[in-house]
Amino acid sequence: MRINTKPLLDFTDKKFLIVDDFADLRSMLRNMVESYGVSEVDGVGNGKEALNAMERRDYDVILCDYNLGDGKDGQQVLEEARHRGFLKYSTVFMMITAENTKQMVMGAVEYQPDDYMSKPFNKHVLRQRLEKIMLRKSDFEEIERAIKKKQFPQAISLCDQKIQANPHNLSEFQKCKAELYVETGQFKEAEAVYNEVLAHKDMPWAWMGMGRMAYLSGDYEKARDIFTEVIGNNKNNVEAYDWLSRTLVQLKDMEAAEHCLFEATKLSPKAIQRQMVLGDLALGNKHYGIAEHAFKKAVQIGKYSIFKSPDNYIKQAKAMLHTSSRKDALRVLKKLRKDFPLDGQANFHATLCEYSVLAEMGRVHEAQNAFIRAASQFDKLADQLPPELVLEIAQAYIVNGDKDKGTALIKDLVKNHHEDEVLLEKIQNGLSEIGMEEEGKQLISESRDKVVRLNNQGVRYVQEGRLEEAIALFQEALEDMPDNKTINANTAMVLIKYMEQRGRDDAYLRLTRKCLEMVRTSSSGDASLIRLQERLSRLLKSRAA
Amino acid sequence: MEEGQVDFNSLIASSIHDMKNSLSLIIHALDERAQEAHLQCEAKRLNSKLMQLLCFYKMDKAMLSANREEWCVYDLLTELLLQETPLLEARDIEGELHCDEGLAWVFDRELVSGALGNALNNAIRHARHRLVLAAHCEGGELIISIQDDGDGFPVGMLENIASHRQNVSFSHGNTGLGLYFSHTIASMHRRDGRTGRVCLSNPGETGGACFSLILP
Repeated sequence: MRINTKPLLDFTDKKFLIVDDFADLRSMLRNMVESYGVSEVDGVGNGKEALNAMERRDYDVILCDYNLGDGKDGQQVLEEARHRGFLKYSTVFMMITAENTKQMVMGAVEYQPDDYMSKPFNKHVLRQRLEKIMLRKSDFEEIERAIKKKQFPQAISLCDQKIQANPHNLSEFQKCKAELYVETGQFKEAEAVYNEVLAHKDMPWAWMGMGRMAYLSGDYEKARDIFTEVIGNNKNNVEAYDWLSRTLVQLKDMEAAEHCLFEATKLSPKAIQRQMVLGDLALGNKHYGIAEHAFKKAVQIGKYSIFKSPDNYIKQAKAMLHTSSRKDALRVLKKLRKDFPLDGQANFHATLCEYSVLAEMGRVHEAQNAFIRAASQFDKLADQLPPELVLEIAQAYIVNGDKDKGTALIKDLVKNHHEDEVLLEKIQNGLSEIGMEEEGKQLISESRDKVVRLNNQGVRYVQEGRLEEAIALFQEALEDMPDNKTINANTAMVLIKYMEQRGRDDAYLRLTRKCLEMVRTSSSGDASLIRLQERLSRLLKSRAA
Repeated sequence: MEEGQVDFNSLIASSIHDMKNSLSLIIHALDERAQEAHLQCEAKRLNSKLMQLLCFYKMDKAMLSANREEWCVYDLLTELLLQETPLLEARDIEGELHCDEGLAWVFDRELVSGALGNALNNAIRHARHRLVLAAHCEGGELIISIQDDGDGFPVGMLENIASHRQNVSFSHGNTGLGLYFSHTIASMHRRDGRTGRVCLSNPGETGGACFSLILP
């Protein structure tokens, strides 16, 4: 048969955006696109203009070159556009690359373009590729809509319908179905899908899925073996390195975890998040040279990235205290202030870090001044700070003579995060560092026990049907520890139960939503959270009907 | 130690980017001009060689690895033919595709399409009026073939490939290198103890040469 060059879809009313720093290439692409009968084609020469254009206008297709000269690269444009919600589900984002290896330019999984195209290509090929993507997207539209509304069971049954029809993109629906099971915490079901796929075809993504299931169900040895084998089959699979490294952390093999990520960063040196994780592992392993390099790289790449973060500067400075670049540590902090001029938290963090760098260097007087500045900045920000920062300033208070304030801050931290073992360990280590090992142990276990007792009492009230008392207890507990995940989840649970029995109450509804939102921000895939959300939406439906 | 290597890699990446841009413009301009078909062919060849060079470089640095995903074979072959549409039209060659639309396989799309593109380019240069791209599944393997109606491969070359590729002679210029490249790509695809391979033949009945890429 002769191949068909007749278009499957009509492009004439589609809006195109072309992003390329090279004007000749832009006009070439424009030429191609106009040959499809498209009349609305915008062209821009850099990432910043591209984002401005996307903010102003809804495009149907974005053709973006990966390499955009100085400034943001194509991946950073994509990340920011997704992050800021500039792309509709139906928008096609096509990454154009010169190189054939997508692994090199690939970012995090959730920020992938719809497809990659390597140069050179002609108008026929581009058109065919775009048509295929659009058809695939419209195939998934209904499922995506359900996912967006968090109607997961509905989305899964839509996948099943598609799978039963046995289309030629069958495995895409299987993949989607498995992801949905993972998302809703149904690991056994997800594993069944992966097994079924692997029984017919040796698909790397299904092996990745099996590895993730092993990881999520705590079978780290099995996860390690699977990821190792995936890498053995394709040593450029950076995603597998990420998972292997995570698995090795669980197996407490920190050296191997670091080495694994180090290899991955060689494959994709521009992925900022990977550099950050590598830096953290290297810091933990006291490999300060590697840590310094990783955070320095993260600062560099971050310059134009939505993932730009003050933490990288701080950690770079801290690593530098132990390397030959020690004397430049303060300069990095200066750069931090310059790059985040309006960020109060970053400013505070810089001051706090200056304090510890100066103290470490033995510049006592300057260190004390820095502490005084940090303390006064802290008073204005206290409620908005992440726990690690609070721990750091608490340590500083204690070291600088205000032990009461320091320990009060620590107690609050423990109460708000009493089940976060990682943080509790950090707190314990932080206290041991300043010679409070025994005192710290006691302080942590006392504060934790208090929360556990309170929570158990509340749960007992619920079991005994004394809902009003339970509500009163949890509300009071929330006042004391507004960030505690368990208390938030249980408050939501008891309020929902109350409303299920006695009918809806606006004030309670507001509080329930607030509590669930709090739980969601700390762990979004939590199975019990999803059950609560489902109960809440059932409740709302039944009352509305 | 790392520093130097990373720098050279990004240097190469940026040179490739520039060259690909220039090639894109040249090929695009030539696409519109049927009378320049031979230049079109040369530009494509330049692009093929550039890609091969890059692959060999990566192989040397142990950076090349097949990124296997499932792809629709029909779409891949359609794209390959579409990429050559202007050239086929200019040379008045009819390109045909024989492939089940639902045929899907697990392979590295970029690498396989590089190897096939190279072979297709060769076939176009030797074809008279007709060229057939075909794919089917046989005994658990995917067989993709490109057949032209030209004079067929020189006998010496067929013997060469029969006696294995270790002795691929680069003195014959591009053909040997292109073949070596295809072999390399094919052999990076392995499954259940089977390895991908390349087959050359002169099938006789239609005349012309037949290049086959077989993937497990």
